[in-house]
Amino acid sequence: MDNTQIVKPKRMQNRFLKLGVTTLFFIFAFSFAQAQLNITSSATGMEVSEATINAGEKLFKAKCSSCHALDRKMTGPALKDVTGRRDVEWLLKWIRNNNELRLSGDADAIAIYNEFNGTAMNVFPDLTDEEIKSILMYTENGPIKSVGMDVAPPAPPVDESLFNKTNWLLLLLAIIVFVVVLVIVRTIDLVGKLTGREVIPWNNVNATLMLFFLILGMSAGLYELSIHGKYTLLSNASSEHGHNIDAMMKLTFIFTGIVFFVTQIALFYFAFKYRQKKGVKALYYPENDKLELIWTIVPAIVLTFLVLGGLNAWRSINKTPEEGTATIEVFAHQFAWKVRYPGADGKLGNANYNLISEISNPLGVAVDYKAETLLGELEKDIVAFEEAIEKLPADLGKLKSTLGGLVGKDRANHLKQIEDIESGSAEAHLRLQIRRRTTQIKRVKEALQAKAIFTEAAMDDIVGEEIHLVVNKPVTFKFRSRDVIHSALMKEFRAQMNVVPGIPTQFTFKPIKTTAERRAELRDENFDYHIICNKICGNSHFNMKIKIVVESQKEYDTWMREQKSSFAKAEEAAPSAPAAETGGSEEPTETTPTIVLN
Amino acid sequence: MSNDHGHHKETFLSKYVFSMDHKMISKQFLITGIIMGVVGVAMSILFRLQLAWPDSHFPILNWLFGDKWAPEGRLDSGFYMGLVTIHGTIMVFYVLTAGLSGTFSNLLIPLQVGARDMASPFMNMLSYWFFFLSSVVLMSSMFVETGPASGGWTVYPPLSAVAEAMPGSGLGMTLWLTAIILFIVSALLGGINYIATVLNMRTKGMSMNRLPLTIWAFLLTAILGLLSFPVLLGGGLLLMFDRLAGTSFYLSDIYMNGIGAMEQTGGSPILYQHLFWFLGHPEVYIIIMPALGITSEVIAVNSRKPIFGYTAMVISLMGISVLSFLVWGHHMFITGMNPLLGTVFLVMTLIIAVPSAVKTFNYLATLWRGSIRFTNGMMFAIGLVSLFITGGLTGIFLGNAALDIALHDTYFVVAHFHLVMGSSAIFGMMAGIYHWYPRMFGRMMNKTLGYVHFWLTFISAYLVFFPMHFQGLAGVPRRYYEFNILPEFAPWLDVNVFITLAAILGGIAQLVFLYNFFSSMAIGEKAVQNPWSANTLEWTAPVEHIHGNWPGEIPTVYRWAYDYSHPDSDSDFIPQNVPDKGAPEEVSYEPVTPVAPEEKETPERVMFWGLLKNWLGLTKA
Repeated sequence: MDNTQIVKPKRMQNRFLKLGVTTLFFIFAFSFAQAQLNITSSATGMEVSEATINAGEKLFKAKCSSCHALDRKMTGPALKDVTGRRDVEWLLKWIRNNNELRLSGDADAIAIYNEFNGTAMNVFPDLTDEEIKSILMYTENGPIKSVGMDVAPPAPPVDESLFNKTNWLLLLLAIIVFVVVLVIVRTIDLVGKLTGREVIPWNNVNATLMLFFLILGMSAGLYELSIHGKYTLLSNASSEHGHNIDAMMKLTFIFTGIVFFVTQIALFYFAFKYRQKKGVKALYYPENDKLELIWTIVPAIVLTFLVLGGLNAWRSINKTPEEGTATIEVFAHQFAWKVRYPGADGKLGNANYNLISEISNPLGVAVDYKAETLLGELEKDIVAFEEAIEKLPADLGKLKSTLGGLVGKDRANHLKQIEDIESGSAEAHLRLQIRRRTTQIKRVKEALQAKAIFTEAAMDDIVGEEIHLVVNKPVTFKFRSRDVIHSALMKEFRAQMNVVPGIPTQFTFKPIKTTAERRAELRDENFDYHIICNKICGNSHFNMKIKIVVESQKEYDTWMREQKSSFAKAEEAAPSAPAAETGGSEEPTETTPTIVLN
Repeated sequence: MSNDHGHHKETFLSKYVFSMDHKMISKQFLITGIIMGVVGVAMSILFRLQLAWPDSHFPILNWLFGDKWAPEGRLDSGFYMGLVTIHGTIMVFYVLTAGLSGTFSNLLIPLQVGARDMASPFMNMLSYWFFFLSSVVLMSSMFVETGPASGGWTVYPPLSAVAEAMPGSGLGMTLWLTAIILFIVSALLGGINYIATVLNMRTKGMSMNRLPLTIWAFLLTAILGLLSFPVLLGGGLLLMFDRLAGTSFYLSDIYMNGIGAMEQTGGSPILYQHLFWFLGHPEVYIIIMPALGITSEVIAVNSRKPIFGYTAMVISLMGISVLSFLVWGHHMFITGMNPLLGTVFLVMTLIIAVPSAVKTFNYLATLWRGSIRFTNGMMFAIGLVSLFITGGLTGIFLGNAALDIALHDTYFVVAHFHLVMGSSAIFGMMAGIYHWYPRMFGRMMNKTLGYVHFWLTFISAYLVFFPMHFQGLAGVPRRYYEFNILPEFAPWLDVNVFITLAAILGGIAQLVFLYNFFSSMAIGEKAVQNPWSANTLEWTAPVEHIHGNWPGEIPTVYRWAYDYSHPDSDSDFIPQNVPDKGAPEEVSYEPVTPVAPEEKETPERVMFWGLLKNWLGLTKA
């Protein structure tokens, strides 16, 4: 039983900045290690095993890590001792569907909701008890360290308060330096005044410094280019159009580089050369039309080249997709991506945000029996909301009666809940929810009546959490967001497109290197292509990604054969047709993802 | 005499607080701007700590922000975004728009065109107080339960429109919008005034082609602001409606986790971006043009040489102003806009590089064969030119739609705009402060400390922003709380540490400035009337500020502002109010605008003071 998770790699050498690594942390960690012996099995009722923990880790990374960490608060709370704080039965309910739990009037659920300012957690109705317990076990034990890895000795305790000895000393030092500078400056000034002459010939000093700055700055810039240049996107794109972008990037780099050197050198050299000297009068030279003309026209010509090159590259990116382009849907929500494949028929079914059910249809794909299920869920919601409204006076009484014995955060939570109920905002909030659900029901019913949106095309669609692409085969990503604007950045493919709720966007490109090829090129076994989110979308924006696997047609077919349609009814669920058909699908007929139901 | 106030005695309130004197208002703008600047820069250093040492605990963060936003001394990811957002808002609007343009337009327009005050001193005062109110509202959003606005300074809906989307989209966002609306009112009141003053209140002989380039820059800036700020006002109000009144200007097809499907349909989040950037792009020129104007003046004075290509400079400013309204779409290349539209914005954006290049070359030509005095102001002006070149050139990458696909919202963008409009404009502002400090406060700043300040700031500006280009080229996204998402980003951690250390150095350098700025008010050397031997009219006014600016007649202008080292003169400068030798009376002037009316208590003044005094209970009878 080693105390994992405690020791982090030493990233930072500077002691001053290490002040934060605290005694508290270690005390906490040790007591935790002690407690573990007792809790682990009793909390989840499961055998502690490396396999379970590893399974839990995998699930945690897939489902939880965009909002949670073990050891600190992110979008959601730190989860390290969550089984110590909450009962496992409660956790099972909470993780499956926190909204339902909150609605049932569970005080803890409401308190958490309030604490995180009304940001609700995603629901995970598909997770089994086993799976959730394995996640919980992972949160208790942390990642399994490979055998033989040395545990570094604990660092000596550090006084974490802001006003400790080291900090005072540093502050004192800073003040002393500042005062010394001031004294020196003042002395120079006074000596200058007394002798009537400048002690330091500032004009010459500064002129010389300008020259130094130029030389040092240029050298530093080139030095950095030599170190970091290799990481840049100037070459080696993994998509076809990416090469145009890279070429354009290089061209621009050369032109701007020349201008940069010429103008900066001129600037600092002139500053040095024409510093004020006794008896030299400046040249009265107010204008020269010919010169103005030259430095209007020359930049204009250079820019014309860049504009033409740019237009060419832009066109190559935005051209109409060629025959045989596959189409997949990339779906974004806070804070994850999902992908939908068209299935055997090569056509993506319709989708609409009104058909979304967090529980049974997170993408809102237009499948009629799912819509019926959704209606049931919504009606159940409404009943629950109404019950919650009726229960409000009783809740208030209960909250008030238990208030007396509470202190600190719990008390504040209670007071907030009491205030919400008394001010009527709790009820208003519930009524708003009822209104929203009612509207949604109306729209779903209308859609079910009109039928137009529910087509066969949706029935064999495949929803997944990993994108697979065939190398050298163009693909169109159709983007859809259900909540806020996201942006799909695929840096290796030089591709990016915003994902906007209510407005369909798309990006077509042709990957030209398989994941394996790119790994070999980078000499990095762990490399993977990804989409990451590049438009701020909420607190966990920095943690929103989906893996892209680029592979040969054969590998793709094998993978596709294992995928099951997400919408085929349970009894009919069968492996979808061979992927060769999917891969070879022609341009799908225009789907209508934008139909508005109302 | 115009400085004789007769029945009207100056009280503390009327002189320092509710002043209608443009010189005092300019000081108010400057000092408020500096305070906001200190807050903005401090925020940037605090969130840079997170980027450099994401796993460390900083007691200072906990001490400042408490357990809610910095538990155990680590920033909360939402609050990190809040700091980034408020930093951006403060620097763009409060420091570089109001602090820069507000300060120097107010100080210099009446003094350099030869007017007794602004066209409407009362509106001028209102402009400041709206700005002040706006600053207070913005800062108050740091103290609300759900935290400040956190969606980035561009506050794109739906993130900013739906309160449940993130904590910062709650009350903090409403306060942000309120602050911006107040700010726009302030900018419009100021802008109208600047335009009216420049066009109508120039002294005898001050024709448009004799205006110093500073005034040209301020005039065009004010026109830009007047035409573009109302669009943001509209956009902001619509966003407010979406938030508070259930409208759907920007909302459609939204299903938000926890609240379900929203009723709103038919709106477009992209519409907001168009409205925002229709201001947003001119805004960057609103920021940089006054800085360029100041630089033109400071470089000419301290090279002892006329600014090269006065006409070309004015034409480029005009070109930039017109084009700046036609390029906003380059912020939106990847929103899925029609590729044809992208083409148009690509072309327009690269065209705008031409006038910018002309200005740069003209600065270089002005330095050529000059007789350069490295005053503090001059050093910052040279620094501006260097930063403007570096930052401007990367704009050529970003304006190119195809490259923008790879570089959009990466650190390359961060480096670009921090150099070209962030650091540059700050350098322009600093050049202005050092140059006109004697005019504002009647004392000189300590130049040795000024040199320390300049070199530390200049070096740290490059150390902070230059490496960011490489991060951006490697695809490192901006507005990320930490970079664990992809293993490829790991090598950049060291660079982030380096940048943060450089940023701390830059922050310390500003302490030198603050000390120098405030202490010089009391212990600085007394200024002479024209310390830099400059030509413009502000140096003909007495050192002590008087109401109405000049004790007697307003000087008449006989020449342009740039007769430095004129071959016909023994002196190396000829102020604008010196008549030509030989025939002072016969010089044929450009059409002359009427002289500003004699200083009188206008009804407006009396009414306002009467009302205000009544209200404050200051009336005696």
